[in-house]
Amino acid sequence: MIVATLKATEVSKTVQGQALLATVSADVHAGECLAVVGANGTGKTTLLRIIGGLMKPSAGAVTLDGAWIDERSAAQRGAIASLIGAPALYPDMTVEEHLELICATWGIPSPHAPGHVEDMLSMFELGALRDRFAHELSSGQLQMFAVAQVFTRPFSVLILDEPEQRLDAQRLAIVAESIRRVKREGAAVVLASHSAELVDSVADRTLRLDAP
Amino acid sequence: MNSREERLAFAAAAHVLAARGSGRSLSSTAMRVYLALFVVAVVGIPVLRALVLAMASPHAIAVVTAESTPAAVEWGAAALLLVVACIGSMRGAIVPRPAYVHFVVRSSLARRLTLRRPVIALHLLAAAVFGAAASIICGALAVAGLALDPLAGALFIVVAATYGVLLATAWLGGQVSGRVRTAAGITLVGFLTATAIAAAVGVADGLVGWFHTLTSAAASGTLVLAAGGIVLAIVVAVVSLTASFAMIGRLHGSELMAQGQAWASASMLVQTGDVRGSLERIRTPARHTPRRVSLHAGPLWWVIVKRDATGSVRHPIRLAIGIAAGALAGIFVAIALSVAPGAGAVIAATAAALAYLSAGAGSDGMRAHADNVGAPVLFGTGTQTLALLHLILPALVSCTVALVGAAFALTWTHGATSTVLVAAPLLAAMAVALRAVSAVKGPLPVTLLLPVPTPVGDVSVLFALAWSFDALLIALALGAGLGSFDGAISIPVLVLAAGAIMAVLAGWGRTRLRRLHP
Repeated sequence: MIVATLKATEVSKTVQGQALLATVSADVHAGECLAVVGANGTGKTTLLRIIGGLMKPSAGAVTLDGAWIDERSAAQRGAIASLIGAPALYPDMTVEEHLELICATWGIPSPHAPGHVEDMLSMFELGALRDRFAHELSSGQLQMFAVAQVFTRPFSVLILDEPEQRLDAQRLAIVAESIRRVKREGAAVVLASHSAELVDSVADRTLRLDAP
Repeated sequence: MNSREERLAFAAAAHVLAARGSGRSLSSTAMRVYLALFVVAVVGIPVLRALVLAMASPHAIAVVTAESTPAAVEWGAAALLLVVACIGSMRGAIVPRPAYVHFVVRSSLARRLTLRRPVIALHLLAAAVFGAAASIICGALAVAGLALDPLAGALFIVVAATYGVLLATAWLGGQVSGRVRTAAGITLVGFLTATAIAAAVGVADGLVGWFHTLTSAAASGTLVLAAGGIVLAIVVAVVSLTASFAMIGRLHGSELMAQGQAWASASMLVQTGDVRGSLERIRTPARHTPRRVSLHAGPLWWVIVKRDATGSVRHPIRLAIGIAAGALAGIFVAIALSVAPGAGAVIAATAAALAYLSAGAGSDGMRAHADNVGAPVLFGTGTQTLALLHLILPALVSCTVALVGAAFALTWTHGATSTVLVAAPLLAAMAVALRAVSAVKGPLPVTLLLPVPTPVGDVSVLFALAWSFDALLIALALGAGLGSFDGAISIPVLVLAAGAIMAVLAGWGRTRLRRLHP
């Protein structure tokens, strides 16, 4: 995994005079988890979208290993994995096939791909659901599936927006353990969450946002 | 609750729904009747007259009176019963509004009471459609100067209307069964039993052999046979309607609610101009296939082809319809290039519409990919590359099927063989390209929902519809253009023109894709 340092400097976002995110600075390094916390409407998702390169800030800059974040850069798209909102799915593909397709598009070699998919199915306890379509999953299972998809692709920076949504305590613990695992492997993680339990168990530092 | 109390409770519920605006008031019913009468007078009757005159043309009347027609109609009618029963297992014949299902249908009131109106309306509508079709044929026979016994004509119309009632019952039966195989099996057994009974008692040579009934009754002029046939047809219709009422008690409220919500959501999206979103709401979910295909092995293009093929097989009905439509498109191209340019343009435009319909069956992967565009990156392949890879399977299938259809049609049409065999797959390929361009169009621009006042009223809906159906309209225009050439167009010109159009479509699709994913 590439060593990455993600740095946001004095970023803010304003749309038609409405401030969505007050000026904020943050950085996160390889093997580290930064938790972004704050009440609803303080701009957590906006900040995550900005540092993921999905939205341009009104002011300030975001860099990845010194280079400006630009979603058009294939290298940066390959480095940053995001779970912000529900990922769009192929309605005619099963859980396992989605993970297989992700491996295929990222060029994970055939000898390793089946093992990687099995690893993900096992890690997120989706083995029993491998042959189900997305419309056959409960809301909590769908959330675990969404998290599993993001973890299946390679990355050096992981951005997670409230991954705890609709998850029970057992599955929340699984997500926490998987975040700790990728941290150990050298990924930089940015996590927005309302779950104090999740933040306490994975975050190295916390950034609290206030209403803009 | 006795039946009188049930009726009172139902009337009270209907009154509450009407008062809340979710039911039909007396004034709205009167307005509907008024509109229906005027539509029939202003549109319906002239259209019927035009159809009768068209059917009375020597070419059409020769088809109607051909020896092979009765058998073809019998097979077609039997197949339609099966198809409708299968459709019923996926799309219900009776789909009330969600509020009505929630408050009335799922109450303790008897279904024969709460669903009486839609059941009767369904059967009446089906009977009217088929009765009208039979009336057109009778009218055409009379206009053409062929001898037609009035009683035999009446029998023909009544039998056709009865078939409509049977069709409605089969549709409802499919909805009650909830499974394609069950619906098809029950309908097949019912159809064969009814045919055997009809043959045993000597009514024509089968339940749907109305052409035979018509011709034999007209030829013999037997009053008893015709009158007996009418009575029997009415009895069959009554039994069919009774069976429908017996079946509606077995409808699941939850499924009625799910279908009602899907249709309500779909109709709301249509009103906002989002036709694609509307179709998504009523699309049947994918089914499991016995064997799964591994997406690990092979180059990426092969992985995507396998993915798309697997996805298509998981929608078997849509796939079958798509293949049939594609083959029909090829047949129509062959016919269009063998007739006069005027008629050819209309037939080729129909072929283009069929090719567009066909291309849709294999384009689910493309559509799903278009929905992914703009979301955080999940797949490691570029957006445009993945879009192109998703075009391989639909292009291959559409072109092949159109080619087969065209080749089949060439055995009995007189078009230029090589031109037809090039034009059919080219039209199919353009239909696939148009599907791709349509898939990446993104959401309906808000500006199209703004009112456009004109002396004849707000025409903004026309712009929204034009935006929604832009690809189909272009396909129709391309088809009409192809059919205008009378088959005399040279193959190099045809290929060059198609290449130029494909290049324009590729550029347009790329622009749309970039707008979605700057």
